[in-house]
Amino acid sequence: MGPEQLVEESFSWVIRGGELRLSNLGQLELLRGMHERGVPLRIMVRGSSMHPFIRDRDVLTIAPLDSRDPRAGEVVAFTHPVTGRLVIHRVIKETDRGWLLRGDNCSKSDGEVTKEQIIGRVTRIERGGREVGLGLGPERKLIALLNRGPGLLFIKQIWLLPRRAAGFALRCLQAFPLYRLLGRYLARSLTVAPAEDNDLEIIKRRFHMSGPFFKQSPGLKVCNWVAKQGGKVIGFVQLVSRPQAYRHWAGDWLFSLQVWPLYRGLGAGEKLTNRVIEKAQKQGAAELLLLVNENNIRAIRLYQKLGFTRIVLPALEPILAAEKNRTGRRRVVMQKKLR
Amino acid sequence: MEVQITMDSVCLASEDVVAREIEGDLIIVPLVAGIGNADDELYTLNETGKAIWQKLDGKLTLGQVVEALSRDFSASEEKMQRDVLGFVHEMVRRGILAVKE
Repeated sequence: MGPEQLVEESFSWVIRGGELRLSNLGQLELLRGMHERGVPLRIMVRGSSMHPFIRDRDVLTIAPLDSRDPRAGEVVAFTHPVTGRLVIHRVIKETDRGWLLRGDNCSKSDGEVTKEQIIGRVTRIERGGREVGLGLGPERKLIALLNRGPGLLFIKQIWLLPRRAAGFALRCLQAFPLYRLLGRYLARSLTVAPAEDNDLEIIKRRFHMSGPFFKQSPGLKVCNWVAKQGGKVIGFVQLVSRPQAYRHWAGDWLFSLQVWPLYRGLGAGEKLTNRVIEKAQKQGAAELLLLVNENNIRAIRLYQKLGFTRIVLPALEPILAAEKNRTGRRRVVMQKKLR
Repeated sequence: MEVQITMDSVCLASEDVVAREIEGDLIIVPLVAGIGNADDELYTLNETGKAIWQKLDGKLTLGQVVEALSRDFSASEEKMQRDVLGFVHEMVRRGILAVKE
């Protein structure tokens, strides 16, 4: 690249936040930078190790520790003693040399952490644009106490039992051919249409995020569809077409396919996916790609039925492997050739 | 109040931002009510923006910055002046850069 070109490009220098994804270590570095100045940082976090009190994509305000030491029950950001990564967990106990930390959703503690490793304390949790109170108030001491042993996980299991049983029963029913047949017959009014603004509002609330593909970026083309049953949104899908500049993410991608649990087995997923395939074909795409969690057998089965096969894109492998380390879920690529 | 920006102006990062180089990118987080808001207010600069930013140390005048940058990038001063002024205007407007009195 010649010098003149470099200068020409100086007007693409500002990227609005949210579109820039900081890695875990990037967030750690930023947090350190903020706290050197003595100011709190408001930032979105990923992961479910603090579920249900802090959830994936919650926005946290993390303040410097200042002079006051952390106390049992408080949620702190720290550098993990083994991995060196930024972790946000709860103090369950004060010890002689430091603090014992554990995620509310973790089966084991992180071990003892010293003051040098603790970067700041969580002072505010926001979810879907609203402040969430539970988890940082007076109940925090009880949570810490329960989480010193298996108490918290045990309560969670009991709490989730009826819901799990109902979910299991529903899934069995939805896999039952007669249900699918009858359901499809009764759900004849199920339609798929391009999403209107008010549909997208519903989707955003459901996905708990402003979302990576709700913002239009340069050169990026996004089409959104919703499935509706009796006027109610019950499913969603996107076609994201990225130009060559996106390198190994370039091309046409099916994204965000989701059918609300109660409405599965009625053919909505298939209708939504077919709509994306049609559109990609119309745009002249050679192939349609998608990412799916390798354990999501029902989705993989649907995609296979519609002509997708599993492929490996070497350039994406390291990214997907890193994602597994970060989030615990491994996604794989599927492709449908369109010509 | 509109601040006049000339080639004799001296600029530096505003008190209301925290800038830090992270994984090769210069990340700028504006402080809103004393809190760094990285959720929807984060900025990052590309190579050129970064090169300009790094010269704005509160000591060099914009004229000197232009001179140094056009040397570094072997670009014409005239063009560089346009870029630097455009950059500074925009960053001052957004409250990311401050003009030293």
